[in-house]
Amino acid sequence: MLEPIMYEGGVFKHNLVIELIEDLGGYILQTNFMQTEVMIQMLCPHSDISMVEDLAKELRAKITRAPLTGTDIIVIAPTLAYQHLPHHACDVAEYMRRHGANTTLVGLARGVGRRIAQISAKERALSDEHDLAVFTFGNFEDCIMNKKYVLYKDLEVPSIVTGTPELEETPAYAKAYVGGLGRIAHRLKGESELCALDKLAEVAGTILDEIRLDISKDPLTTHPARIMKEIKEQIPEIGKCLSPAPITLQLRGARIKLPYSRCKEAIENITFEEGVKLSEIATVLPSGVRDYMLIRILPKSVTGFVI
Amino acid sequence: MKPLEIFRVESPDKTGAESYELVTRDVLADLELTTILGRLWMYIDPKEPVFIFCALIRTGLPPIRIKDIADITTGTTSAEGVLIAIVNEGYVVPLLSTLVAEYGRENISQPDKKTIAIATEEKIEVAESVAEVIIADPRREIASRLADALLRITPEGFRVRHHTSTESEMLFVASEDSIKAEWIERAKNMMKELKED
Repeated sequence: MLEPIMYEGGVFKHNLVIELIEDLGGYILQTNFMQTEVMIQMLCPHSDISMVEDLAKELRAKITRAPLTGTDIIVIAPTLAYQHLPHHACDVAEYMRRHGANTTLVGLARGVGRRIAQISAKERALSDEHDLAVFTFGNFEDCIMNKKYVLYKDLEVPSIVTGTPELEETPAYAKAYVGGLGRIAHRLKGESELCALDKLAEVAGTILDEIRLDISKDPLTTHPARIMKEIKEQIPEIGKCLSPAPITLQLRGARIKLPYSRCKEAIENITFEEGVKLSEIATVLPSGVRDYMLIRILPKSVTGFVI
Repeated sequence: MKPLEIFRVESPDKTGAESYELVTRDVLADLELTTILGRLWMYIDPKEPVFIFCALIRTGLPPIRIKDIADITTGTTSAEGVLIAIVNEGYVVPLLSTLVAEYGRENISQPDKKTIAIATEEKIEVAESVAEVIIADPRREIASRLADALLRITPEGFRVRHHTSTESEMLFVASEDSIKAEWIERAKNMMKELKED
């Protein structure tokens, strides 16, 4: 099983880490340079983590387990108005990003209010493309407990709700609730606010681990990171994509930021060294985000094999 | 009346009220309204649902005239026109646009950064009248900032609104449903009590 880990250290000799991970059969997901520092998100075989840790110790770097690595999280604010943005929803999205997740931030068209709150079918389909949805709500317990559930009750992905009050029980239809993160008109930098953000990242990590465990019962035919590697090697066009993360990994597949109309066939024809084509082990669907495409890897129970 | 000498946020939901007080303080600070409001009383009941905002505004800010921010001279006897020597640069933009509107673009020139000249033959009359021209009215600006603050503070879904405002007070009721007469009555009573305190 591959463990999501994050390497934080100096740029000096960081390529040794990349080489080691590749030799161990792991995957490098993203490398971010910040002047003389580097942050590498990677997947490493569980049994070999100690080798990476030893190398990191030698290089005076830090290795942390980052359960949000390689996941795609959608942060949903009731609207894009001043009441919800930028401080609350953006800070939540940014904090998840620091823990390794790829986050999408959306504001609903008509998510405001109590009686009038609603989510459209398109917004729901967009949310269901992700691994996890985080709903950033406001200050009042009555709204969170009795009214706002209409926004997430029909979602297929698990939802985490955030709000100001500390609730004893999780609101109906939500997977988890994190308090202390309600409507805030300043940047989240107070101690209690940062604690709440940490708790949110922890809760999200736990839920994603549960999904990983669920997937391992009927494993995917191949790991999403393997598809990412093959796309990088076989589709040169991905190098021209200007998005910061041209391939966004998800727990059950990936979102490829290439036009579906033009590149679908090329993606489907990717061949693996075992001799199978991508179209045999995954379905390629149009994404709700622009003209991007979505890859959903089929489980072993459907294809009958694992590569 | 001192700035924000009374600041009350009430709600049946105690945590919600505390959080709303924080939001209100942040918004008022962002829009530099903290010293403008004297007394403030808010009531929010999400179950009704209603949002009431009553505030007393600290008045006493006069409009700004050209003579307040500049020295006006008629220049030398040979010069044609009135010279405005700017003292406070903060109002140059409204000053220029006001002068252009009043005397025409071709008659306004700016020989250097802090001097504006109006070309005219009736120097003395123009110098006298231009001194009294109002270029900025802080009260009007405060009213628009206060309206902005209210829109930011009010829960976004509360789109049915009722407000009455004068130069010294602001009463605002908002809800998701039709506004009930009893809410307005309550707001008026709150305002009355706020004035008596």
